[in-house]
Amino acid sequence: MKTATVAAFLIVTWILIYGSPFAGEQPKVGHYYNSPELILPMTFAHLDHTSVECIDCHHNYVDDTGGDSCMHCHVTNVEVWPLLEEQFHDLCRGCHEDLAAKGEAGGPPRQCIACHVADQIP
Amino acid sequence: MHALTLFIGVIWLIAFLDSPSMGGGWVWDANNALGLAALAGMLYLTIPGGARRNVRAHQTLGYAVLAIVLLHALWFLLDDGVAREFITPNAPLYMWTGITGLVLLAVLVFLAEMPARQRVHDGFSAFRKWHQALATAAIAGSIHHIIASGFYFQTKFQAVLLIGLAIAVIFGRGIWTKARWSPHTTPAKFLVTCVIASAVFTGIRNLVL
Repeated sequence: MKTATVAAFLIVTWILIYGSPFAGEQPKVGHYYNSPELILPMTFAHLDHTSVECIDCHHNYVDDTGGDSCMHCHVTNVEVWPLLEEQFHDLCRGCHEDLAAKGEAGGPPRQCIACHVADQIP
Repeated sequence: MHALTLFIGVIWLIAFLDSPSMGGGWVWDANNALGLAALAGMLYLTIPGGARRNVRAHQTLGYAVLAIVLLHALWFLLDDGVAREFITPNAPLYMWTGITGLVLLAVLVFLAEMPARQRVHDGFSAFRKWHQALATAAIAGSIHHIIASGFYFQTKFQAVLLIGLAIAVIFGRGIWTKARWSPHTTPAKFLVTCVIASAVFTGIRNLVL
């Protein structure tokens, strides 16, 4: 077991440096959307969300708190930026989880790699 | 009823009290079920065996529980390319409490072996005091990791029940001794129980509901 534990820690070190050899796509952290710190890429396919009311996500349509793309404020505004992870996990993952809890198909509720890839679909 | 089965059953019951149909996919749920079964194993290991305790069996079961926890961690890291971000300094607190629980469990297991135990502790009473304290800290870290990650135990009611179970097991040692539920499961039986319980957990989340 000691050997297995040492092997496990070596595997973790390898994954930290080079990533998983089995996971397929390996997203790279970067200054996406001009973020002040390194963040993971995110994807959002509008075409997959046509059944969702626009206002459910685009709060600025009614509260007049911003314009341009979501990331324009959520990454560059100094008050909003620290909440990026919490807000988008709550919004995206929370909605997927609510649908899953009802037994409805609603997109990936938890797998990180399902969302943290570069945008590919409009 | 066997105490290990009871603990797994109670944890499963609490997990299914809210949103029983919410699954994260086969791989996600199976791996998390293994993590929850490992928590049951950690609770099981805290049951006092009294004079009838088989120390060697307790030690080997500790290795089996550690193996399941390592499998739980490595599976995520190997399966999901993003998971490694959750073991970096930027990781959320619940990941660090989980990692702390794993490290403490490894320390518990390896430092309980002779001659390491004799090198670290002055006597058996000092060893036992530290062993119990570290075990409590490892369980506390694991429970925070489970609750704060907020998937299967999202409601306060579930959190209170899970914490209550751990408190009852850790601090109700006299009850377990009187019930003569001394731990005697072998590593092989524990591993088989983990696999079966994980399959049931995953099946219910992804097939039944």
